[in-house]
Amino acid sequence: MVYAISIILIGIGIYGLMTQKNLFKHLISLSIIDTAVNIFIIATGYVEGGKAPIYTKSLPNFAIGKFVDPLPQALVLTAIVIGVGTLAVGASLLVRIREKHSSIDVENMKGVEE
Amino acid sequence: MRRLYAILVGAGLVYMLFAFLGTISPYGNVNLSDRVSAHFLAKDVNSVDASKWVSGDKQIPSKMKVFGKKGFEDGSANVVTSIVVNYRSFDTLGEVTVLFASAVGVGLILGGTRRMRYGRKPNFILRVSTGILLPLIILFGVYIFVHGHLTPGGGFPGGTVIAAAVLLLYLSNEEFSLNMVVSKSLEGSMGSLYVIFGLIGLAVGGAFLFNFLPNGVVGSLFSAGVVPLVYMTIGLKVGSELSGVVAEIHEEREG
Amino acid sequence: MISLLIAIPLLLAFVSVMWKRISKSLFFLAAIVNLIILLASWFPNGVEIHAMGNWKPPFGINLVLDNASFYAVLVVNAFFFLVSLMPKFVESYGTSLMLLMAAANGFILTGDLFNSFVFMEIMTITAVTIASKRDNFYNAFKYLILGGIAGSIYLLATIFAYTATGSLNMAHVSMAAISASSLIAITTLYTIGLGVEAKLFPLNGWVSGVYGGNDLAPVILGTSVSFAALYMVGRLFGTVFHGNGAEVLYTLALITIVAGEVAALRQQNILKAFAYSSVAQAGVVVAMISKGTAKSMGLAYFHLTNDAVAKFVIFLVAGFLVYNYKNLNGVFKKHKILGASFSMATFSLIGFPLFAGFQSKLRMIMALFSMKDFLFPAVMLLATLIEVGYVVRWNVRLWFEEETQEKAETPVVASTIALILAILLVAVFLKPEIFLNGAMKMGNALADSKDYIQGVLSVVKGGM
Repeated sequence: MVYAISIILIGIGIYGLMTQKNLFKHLISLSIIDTAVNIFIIATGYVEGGKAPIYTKSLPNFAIGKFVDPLPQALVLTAIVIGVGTLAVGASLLVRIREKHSSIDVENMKGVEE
Repeated sequence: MRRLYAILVGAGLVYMLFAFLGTISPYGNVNLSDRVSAHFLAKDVNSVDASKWVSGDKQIPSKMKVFGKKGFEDGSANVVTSIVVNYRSFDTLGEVTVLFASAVGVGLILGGTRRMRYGRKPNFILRVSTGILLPLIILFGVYIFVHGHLTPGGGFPGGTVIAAAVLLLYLSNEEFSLNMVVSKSLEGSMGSLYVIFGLIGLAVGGAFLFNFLPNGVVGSLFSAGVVPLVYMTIGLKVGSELSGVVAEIHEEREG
Repeated sequence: MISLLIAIPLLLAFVSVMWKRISKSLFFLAAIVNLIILLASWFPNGVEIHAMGNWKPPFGINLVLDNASFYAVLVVNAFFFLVSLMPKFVESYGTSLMLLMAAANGFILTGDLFNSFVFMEIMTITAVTIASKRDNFYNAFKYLILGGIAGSIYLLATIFAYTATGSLNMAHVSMAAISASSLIAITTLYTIGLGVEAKLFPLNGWVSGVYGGNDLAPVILGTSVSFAALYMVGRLFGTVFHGNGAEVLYTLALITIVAGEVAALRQQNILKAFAYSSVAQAGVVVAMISKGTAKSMGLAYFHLTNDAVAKFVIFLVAGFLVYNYKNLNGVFKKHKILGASFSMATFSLIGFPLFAGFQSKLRMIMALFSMKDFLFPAVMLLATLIEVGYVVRWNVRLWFEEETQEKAETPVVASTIALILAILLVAVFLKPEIFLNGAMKMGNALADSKDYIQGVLSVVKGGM
């Protein structure tokens, strides 16, 4: 189920990228794809009945099957930060595109060289 | 036409991914002992015979008490942290670099010189509550990254919380602008410090990013070797970096 | 030692935000230190690994230096060094270039799938920053979006590999018994993920805009970064997946060649024309890699080296011309040295005898005939015919048309570098061993996955 949701979200992101004319919506679509992939990764690490992989006073012992897989979570932590970086650069590019071409709508942009 | 094409491509990709889903184990039904992470959880990577492990002889770690004990190869109670900052610390260095690269990129792309005005006075509640909340937010950010090896959190969330405090300052005061020299120096020096930690590891233990401090008791504040130090550098770096991005976005070019 | 190849540019990049004024000198310093480190560990002829934090593979991340990654790193750093010699060119992009250098080195050296994703993203973000020079924002944005999607798909592929094998280490993934359906999933996703950086057919829409938008981007992205990306294609499909999924790559690459050359012929902007030509050459290299033998991969990287050197000269000269003259007709009458090196490089591109391109194209065609593949040589010959068309057209236009403008100042360093590289292309024709030996060693190392696996997994302690 979680897998299906994340895959459908990826499809929605691709659809958004191909149909939308506003460049900010492209950035949002990219962000949706990023998030979908992150959900997918987290889901691959889930173990039925597993707890968060942190040793505490109430969970002091190690045993297989007691914790969920920590590695995908560590990977997602990295992937989220990478997504933020991409978003920041994309947003600042959009600010300058708006200044230069007077719009961020593909159809109304002036003086664009492909 | 364009929509139809987009639906076709999107549906094709979704169909392909659904077909690929059959190749991975069903949701929730994962056997950790087949994966490297079992040994991250058990903190016994050094005692595993890697050549046997890769050829299929998975050595299943035994049940044991971890919390409150000492003498493990890695000392953080939060296993995600121990992966992020110890077992796979190099990824995190890359992650810090991604953020750094995008901060540099934002600076080069926007390159403004003058503080942007919102054109209206911030309201009373915002101004007053900022004064009350600001120290608390910063304290909370520091708390998050200092306890990164014990609780969920760490340098990245902590730094982001600190940057949120800076954003609040920008929103509540039209005159405020961040001292870019200070934030850039903090960002650069903290980034260098992470690499220098790595180089000290190289000099002391013979491997880049080697954990050269004692691990201590799992679950206590002063434990886990270099992990808290690295998380503090990351926290300060991410805080100054994202504050810098917030400041860049609030600057516009003359004329 | 090899971790320093990444650590030093990274450290200097962090330092350079505090002293912006010296960032160009720091870039030069980083390039030269890296070159010295590389010359000190000349062709290891084995597999050397550096386990990060002393966590042995497959548990930790490790850097791998074998003949393949050494040759790739050497070529990449050599181009960065050449760029660092031209401070006028670097302007305020010193920090980004250092980051790009660290990322390209890390991308090539790493032996971990997820780590390569991280470095690919650093490469994308810095490349976008560099692409936005001279207000080329819209094209940089397109590149960012495409690069972002490719990154996500690459990550998805990595996670499929992780669930199939239980680790992220390339050597372990390479030796693990992965089911056929799983392999199809992983290789298809990797093809999409690498397709953007490797400029494969449906995903290369960004190339002309980014390469054609300013003078710095094509010189560095068209040589170093594309070399790094194409190295990864060879590493993943040659070493890690033993040639699985190569048919898809082969088909896409052939389409890429034809589409790229046709677009190059129709293009009126010189930078964009050669950007499309670089797409087509990437197609040639990928198709050659997908044949999967040690020889074909060696020849692929031999061709790629020749192409990268030629493209460096072409983009350097073309970038100078485009941003100093409004009308390019007959400009080489004023800049004879630049013109001579440009012509030599373009003739090497089509594989004219007397230049390096001839050696690599001839050898590739011979090797393909001996493999009983006739489609690819036919496509390559067709592509060469188209190349002759636009190369001759550009040369005639730049040399012989009526000139109109005032002369711009000749860039001394850039013309010297262009001339030296052009002469190098002739030298490679006379003595192909200069590049061929290294490239063949690289091909052998990429095809020999047994050696790679043993080299990585038998080493428990990571040394310097």
